[in-house]
Amino acid sequence: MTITRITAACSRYLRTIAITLTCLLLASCEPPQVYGSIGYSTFDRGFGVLAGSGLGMDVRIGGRIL
Amino acid sequence: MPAGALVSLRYNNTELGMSAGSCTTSIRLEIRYDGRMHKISGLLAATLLFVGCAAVTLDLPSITDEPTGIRSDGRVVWRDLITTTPAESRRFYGELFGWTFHAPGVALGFGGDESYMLIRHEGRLIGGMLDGNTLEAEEEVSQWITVISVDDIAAAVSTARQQGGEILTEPTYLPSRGTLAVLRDHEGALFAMIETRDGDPEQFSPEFGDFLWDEVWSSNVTESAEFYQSVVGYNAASPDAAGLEYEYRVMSSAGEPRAGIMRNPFKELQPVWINYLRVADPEAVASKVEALGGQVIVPAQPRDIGGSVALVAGPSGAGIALQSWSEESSE
Repeated sequence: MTITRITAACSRYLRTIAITLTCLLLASCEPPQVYGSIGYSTFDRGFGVLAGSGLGMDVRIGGRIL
Repeated sequence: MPAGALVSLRYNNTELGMSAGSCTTSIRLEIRYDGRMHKISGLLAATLLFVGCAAVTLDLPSITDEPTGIRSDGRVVWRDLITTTPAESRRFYGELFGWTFHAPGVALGFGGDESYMLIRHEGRLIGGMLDGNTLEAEEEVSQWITVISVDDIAAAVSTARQQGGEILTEPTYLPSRGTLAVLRDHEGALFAMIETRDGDPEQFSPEFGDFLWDEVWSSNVTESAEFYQSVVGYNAASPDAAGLEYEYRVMSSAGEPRAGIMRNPFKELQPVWINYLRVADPEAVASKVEALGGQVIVPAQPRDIGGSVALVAGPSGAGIALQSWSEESSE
């Protein structure tokens, strides 16, 4: 009888712990992000060398027309 | 955990359901209480579950101060700067263009209070700035992200996928902003689409220091035009502009020009969306860039059709163009 009660008590606590751990796992393993692991730096320092060499002068860029 | 996974747990008479819309976007918790919870341990577990999961609900602030209730399909309504040097970027844009930055009054669900900041110019909301250090990126990310308004984001994203685009963030509901998706086009250029919750911001004529134009730099102008026509419903046409000597497309919707496409002028640069700011004198602004930690990529140059334009990068490497422009000359 005593063993049954101990088993039941342990079971309750184990279930509680399991739910809590599941929550923590889901909540913390991957933080939510909109802009996640995306993109790159448009112009890193390498482009500074390009512009500094004068090549940037030969590049035509656009812009608003209408 | 796969996107859309549903975890359902039952404790005594209480069913705990937890759904994850996407591993990298949001986690939503639902608790259905079907019976009397009489175990203190059960209540404690449910409380911890709720607190732990509610804390990670993602949000971004609204892009309008006042709800307009109107969406303009295809209009570029927002720009977000991702920067790994937010303090330096604030100083850079603040001193060059008079922009101000402030933390939004909503719980974002990531980073600290200043991980995302709203940008204002002359009191108007013009964009946002995200601290790239809060991202789990494998490489340094510093870019301006162009955000296009769409009426039906699910349909637009579905079409983008069919046309060879890559969906980086599936349509994600942000309670204060609306439903946002982040994509790469068929060539890899990064952009976002939004179905706004409150409608799009009111349109205003760009002053000095405001965003003036947005442009895709593509390796194939014709193919890019086809992509964006399909996805956003643009009408893409060659502009009738005397003196324009290179291939260009203007993408329009509802009779309004929204954005452009031109051939990527840099071999070393991946296809990218570039944003233009209206300034009085690009050369004068560019002359201050390096002192503020940025770099001049293309010095100010005259445009074939009038005015001048320059390309600079902020302290973190995010590129942005400067253009002189008069409404009169465009008519």
